[in-house]
Amino acid sequence: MDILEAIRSGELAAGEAAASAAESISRRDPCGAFLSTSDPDDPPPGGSLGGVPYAAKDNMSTANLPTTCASRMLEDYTPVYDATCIELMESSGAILVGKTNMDEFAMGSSNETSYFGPTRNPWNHGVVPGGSSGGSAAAVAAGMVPLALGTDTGGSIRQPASFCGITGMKPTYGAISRRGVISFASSMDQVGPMALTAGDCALALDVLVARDPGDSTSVEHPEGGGFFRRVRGSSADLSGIRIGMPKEYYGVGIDEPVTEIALRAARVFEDLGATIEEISLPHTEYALPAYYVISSAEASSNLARYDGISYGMREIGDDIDDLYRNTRSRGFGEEVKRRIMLGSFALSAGYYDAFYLRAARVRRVIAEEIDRAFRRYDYLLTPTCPTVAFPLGERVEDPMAMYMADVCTIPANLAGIPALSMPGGFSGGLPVGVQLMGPRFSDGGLLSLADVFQRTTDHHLRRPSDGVEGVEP
Amino acid sequence: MIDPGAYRATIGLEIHVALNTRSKMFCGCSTDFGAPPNTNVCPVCLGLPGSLPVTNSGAVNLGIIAARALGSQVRTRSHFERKNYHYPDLPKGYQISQYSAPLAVGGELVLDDVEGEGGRIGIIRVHLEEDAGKSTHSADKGSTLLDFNRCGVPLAEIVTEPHIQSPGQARRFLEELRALLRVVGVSEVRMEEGELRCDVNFNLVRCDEGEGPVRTEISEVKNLNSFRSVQRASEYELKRHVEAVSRGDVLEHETRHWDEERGVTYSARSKEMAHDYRYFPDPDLPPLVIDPGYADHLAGGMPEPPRAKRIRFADEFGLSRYDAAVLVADPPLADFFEETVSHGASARAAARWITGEVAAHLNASGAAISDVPASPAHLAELLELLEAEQISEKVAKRVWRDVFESGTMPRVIVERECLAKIDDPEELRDIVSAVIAENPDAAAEYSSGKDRAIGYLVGKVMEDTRGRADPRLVNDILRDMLRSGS
Ligand SMILES: [Zn+2]
Repeated sequence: MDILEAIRSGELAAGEAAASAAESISRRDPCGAFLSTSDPDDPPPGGSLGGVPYAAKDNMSTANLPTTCASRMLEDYTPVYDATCIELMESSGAILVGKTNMDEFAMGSSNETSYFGPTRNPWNHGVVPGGSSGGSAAAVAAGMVPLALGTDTGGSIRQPASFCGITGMKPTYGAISRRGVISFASSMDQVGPMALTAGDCALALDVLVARDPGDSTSVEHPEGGGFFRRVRGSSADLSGIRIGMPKEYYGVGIDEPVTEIALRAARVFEDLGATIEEISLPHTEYALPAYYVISSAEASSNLARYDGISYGMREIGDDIDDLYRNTRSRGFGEEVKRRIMLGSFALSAGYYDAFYLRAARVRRVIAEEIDRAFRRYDYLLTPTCPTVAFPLGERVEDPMAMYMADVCTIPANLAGIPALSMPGGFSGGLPVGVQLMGPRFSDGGLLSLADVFQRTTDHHLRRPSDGVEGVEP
Repeated sequence: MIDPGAYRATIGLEIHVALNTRSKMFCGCSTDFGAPPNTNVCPVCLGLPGSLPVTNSGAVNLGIIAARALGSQVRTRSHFERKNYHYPDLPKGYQISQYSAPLAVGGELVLDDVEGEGGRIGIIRVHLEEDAGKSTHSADKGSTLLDFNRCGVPLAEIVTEPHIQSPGQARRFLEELRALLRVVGVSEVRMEEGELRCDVNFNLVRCDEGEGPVRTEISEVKNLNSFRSVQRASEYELKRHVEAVSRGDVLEHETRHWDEERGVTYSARSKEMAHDYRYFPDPDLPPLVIDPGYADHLAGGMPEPPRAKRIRFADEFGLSRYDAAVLVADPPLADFFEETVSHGASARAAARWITGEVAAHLNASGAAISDVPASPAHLAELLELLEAEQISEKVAKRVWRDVFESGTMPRVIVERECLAKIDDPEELRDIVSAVIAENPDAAAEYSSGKDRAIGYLVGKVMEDTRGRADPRLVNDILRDMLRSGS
């Protein structure tokens, strides 16, 4: 049953579903998906998501609920205000049942950098759920909530969606306000929905997509408010739709079964009438290094505010410099510190041109290359991740291997375009996602395409055996 | 032998001035001065996690006006950058400023040639940024108190070319800049509220081919908050650099602080100089795109700059350079002057009265010209009475005191209190004969040839008429009557 049916059936009435979801999460969370749970009030009457329980990643500011970014630095921090996305969800009648685990400050691809311990994949507790929105992905996959919010800076919604067998979308940059979402890399951070189906993601977008005067980078979306209607009304006849398959996403480093599943998805679209063609985006290989330079540079500045002065952790010292050193050395984990160092270096005098500026130029080249592709193709289809979910601990000591998990998702963040991951099949008992990308503001079209796919396939209907009781039967 | 006389001072200034907006640069908090600590704050200016800046367009407008008033070229596209450094009163760990693409470039401020301190001082750039909070160190408790009310207040930074050649000229520049910024409404420049702070970049440059270094290394004296400190710190640096050159010492390029009490500058810790601010474009803010037509529109509504007004007052109204400078230095008084003249008063008389009587009453009462009932129409009428010799200068001053307090028109006061000059000879004759009758001794003295006695009698007449009699006429009538022995 999808969210809309559940609302119509009255199953979510009077917040009972939310109350029972919250209650069962606080009792049993075998994956470690949640960092905190709330005691839901009765839902406000009406609203498009009236009574729907949802979870939010723990980097979204929530007044009265801790917001830790899974960091020791913010272990005891509770914001004084709600993020815009939280306010919008509340005004739609959705009920926040808890905050989900994540990689510390959203830096990571496995949820293992969380100060509070990793989240486990509901399909197999020995493998990671992906990251950094791994808690949100696991909560949806395990059936604890029908909807969760994540953030995606380099793949942090799509990669865990792929690993956990759900649908996750990073909308067009600027479509959803970042106000109140704790910044990692401002020029790429984007809030997005994670749910079982593309239709449910569209319902959430109808609530979340709005120009916010409180976020100078937010934009007016030409399709704002009409996503679900468009998805429901979309035709299963894909004649005239042109889908490109960039060969750079199918090459070395991509596991064979993953490639195979993406190719099978392409055949599904072809059978529905779409034209599928192989294309080339030769600059793709530069996306990963450009991303790590830019995102780390922005992060080094965004995380400077955690200084032990006004809020968060403080470790005193002999003088102010000592206080900074102690607080930041002990408050941040290894991966966060690695990126702050990397980013500070990329911005420092004498290296700025060779690193930050060059990366910014590469970013522009990649964005232009992708824009050009969209003059001939409506959408691009690629694997979401090179592999299925990997075993816990496997890549913790190997940052480069960890970074490779985002190689297919990063270009969309550099270009600011919408992209989603939807379940495309299984390999070795673990889900494998397929990624769809579209031009800026094609969010509705992307979701429609995914919905059409989900009408003719059943990968998204398979659930892990140890899923706990939630809204889903 | 190195001759210090062969060197001249080279001074460049970096001026931070608080813009006259009601709300902060990137949030809606009030910029009011003097509120209790940490009451004008919100998640944005406190740099709380997840908060985002939104540019205050009013501050951008004032920046554009400041730039245009200085003749700077406003760029059609500029952007904000982050200046990264840690300090407790900087809650985000960076200051939003402008660096590689400032709001405006170029321009100049012309100083009138007074005491050899005139000249054209070039402007390198004008950019926008946000202020930091305030740290108060409490030595006894060993603690630091932080007030974030100032944090995020919009500032314009104005950077000059190193065209200033003396400490006195540095001060003159700041005075002229303050007058300009006030007139165009960019800033109130209230020094006591820290609305203008200045960094001085000082060095010596050799003017001839003689011995010694071509130039000394630059000293950057930071954060001076009064014009006097700027002048004194520059004088101190001048002395220090000259002494170093004379001794053959080599100075280092360094940051220095000013000790107001001891009257000296001292070297900052070397660590403070080693800053690498790691500027980069702020990804939270879109570029500032300013249509040239929009900048023209803003500049079009700009009041006349002080220097242009001084020139006009001298040319158009024939005022002395001094009177023009005094009036223009006080824009409300300058407006008062122009309006008084537009009511038909003589410009010179109006200038003399405004810089004299009017200013004196304002000073004594502490009121602003806009707050008192006296208007240019009042003054014009008073000057008209004076010019027509209907009242004496002495009476005019008395009448003005009444006008200043009550706002009654001068003619009404003059009539009500019968203050008009007595210039009717018949009326005066009666008064004079009465005075002669009351002072027979003085009359006798005059008759016996003591000419001085006439002064005493004139004084008596003036006293009896409360200054209304025309003294020349009284003099003539007295002599006439005493001679004729009537
Ligand atoms: Zn504020």
